[in-house]
Amino acid sequence: MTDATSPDLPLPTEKPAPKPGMPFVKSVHVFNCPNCGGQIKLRALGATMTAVCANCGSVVDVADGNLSIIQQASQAIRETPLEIGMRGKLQNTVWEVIGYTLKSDKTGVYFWEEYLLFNPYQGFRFLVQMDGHWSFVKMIKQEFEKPSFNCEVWLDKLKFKPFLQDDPTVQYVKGEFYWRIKKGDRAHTEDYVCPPYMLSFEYTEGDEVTSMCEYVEPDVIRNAFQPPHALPWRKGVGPNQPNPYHLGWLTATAAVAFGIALFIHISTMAASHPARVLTINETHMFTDRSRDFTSDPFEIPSKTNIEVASYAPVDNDWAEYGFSLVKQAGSGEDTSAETHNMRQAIEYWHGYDSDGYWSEGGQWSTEYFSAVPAGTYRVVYDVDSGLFDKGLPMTMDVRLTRGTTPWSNFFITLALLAIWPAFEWMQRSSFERTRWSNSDFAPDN
Amino acid sequence: MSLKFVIYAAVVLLAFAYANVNGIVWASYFMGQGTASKTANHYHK
Repeated sequence: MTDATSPDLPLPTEKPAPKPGMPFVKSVHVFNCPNCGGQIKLRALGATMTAVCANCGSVVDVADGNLSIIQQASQAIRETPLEIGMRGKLQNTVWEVIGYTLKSDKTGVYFWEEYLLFNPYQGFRFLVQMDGHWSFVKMIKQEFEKPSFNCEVWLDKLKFKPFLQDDPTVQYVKGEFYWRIKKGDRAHTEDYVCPPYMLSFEYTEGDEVTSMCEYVEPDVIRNAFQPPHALPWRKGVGPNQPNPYHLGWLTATAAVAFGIALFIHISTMAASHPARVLTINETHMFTDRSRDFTSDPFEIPSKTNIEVASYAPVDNDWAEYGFSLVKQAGSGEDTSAETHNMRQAIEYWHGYDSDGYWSEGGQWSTEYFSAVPAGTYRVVYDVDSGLFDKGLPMTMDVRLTRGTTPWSNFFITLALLAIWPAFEWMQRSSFERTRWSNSDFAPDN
Repeated sequence: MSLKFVIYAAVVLLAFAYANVNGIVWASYFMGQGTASKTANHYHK
């Protein structure tokens, strides 16, 4: 994040280590701004090289004691979400904000903030904020094999994918810094992501700094520093923001549920005893078109479904059967006269065209009467067919079987179980698409 | 979220088991075929 070196080492100190959870106690060194005479406070005395006057904005070199001005005041002092001097506890350490940098990308369109944090016993860290997304940044000293930007980088068994390279420019500074900094400074950066982490390489003349950025929820920043003003709203998806939609556990649970559904289906099939209750095998003529026929009565001993498997010897023709399953009044426990109605169309068409042979439909059709209560039933049926228009007879073959276990319930169950994971998957994918829309390129997986 | 899905899956599986035991064919309701009706009673004996 900076062009400095060795910033993460604890500063030499003779002070005893602080008690866990207690803010550190230290003094603030004050000197006068060589430009305006206002007070400049140094919090990281001994490490600070550059300080910015809070009154006039002049950037002052404080490293050698001559207090030379690096950059004259060029813009008004800005208010920032976290102000210099604020303290907050992050990762079990109390940090004080001592520096602030506003940077922009090379186009000058996108801006982000970098807060320099200091603890006399832990050294320096950064908080980076862009579009309401916060990262806690620590510099690391590790060599990487990184032949080119579009290659993945491995660190501690984590695979970091290349995300963005840029040439950021310092647009504004305030506070103090352990390196020389001024408005207009530029560097080259390459960022790799493995949420919630981001590996950032920053190159300046003759120097390379590697930083590990860990995503921090805005609420954590708010609770830690308790700023008087609201933090920036979170917009879009941060490069290293963890995806809140998890598929692993959901997929495993869905797979178990699928298995249970299959077990239920097979168990039901094994326990059921399908039995033929009626067979209709009759030849009908044109004159039967407007007639209703009534079957012999049959018994349904308990509530069940009835499969209606129908056949019609149609060839490039059609047939249609109408069935009413009529309960004999007074039979069974439920004495109401209930009717189940069904129409079955059977069509079979085939032939040749420019693409070769084609066919559509078939000579069989299977439908179900659902949840038929116990009782005595008859079937009232009618028949019609295209064969009648040609003066031909047609033999209808219909078989009614009770107690079957249709697969349709099983597949509907699978669909219902898959809806939730599918929705989660879509949300997860959308989240990743949004993340990678801000990248130089999307990964191949 | 995880517990909610477990509850959802359990409800779906219970409904599936209930349908299978009671001969309910869900597809019949989607297609409007073969389900009970108090009207259009063709036949009474």
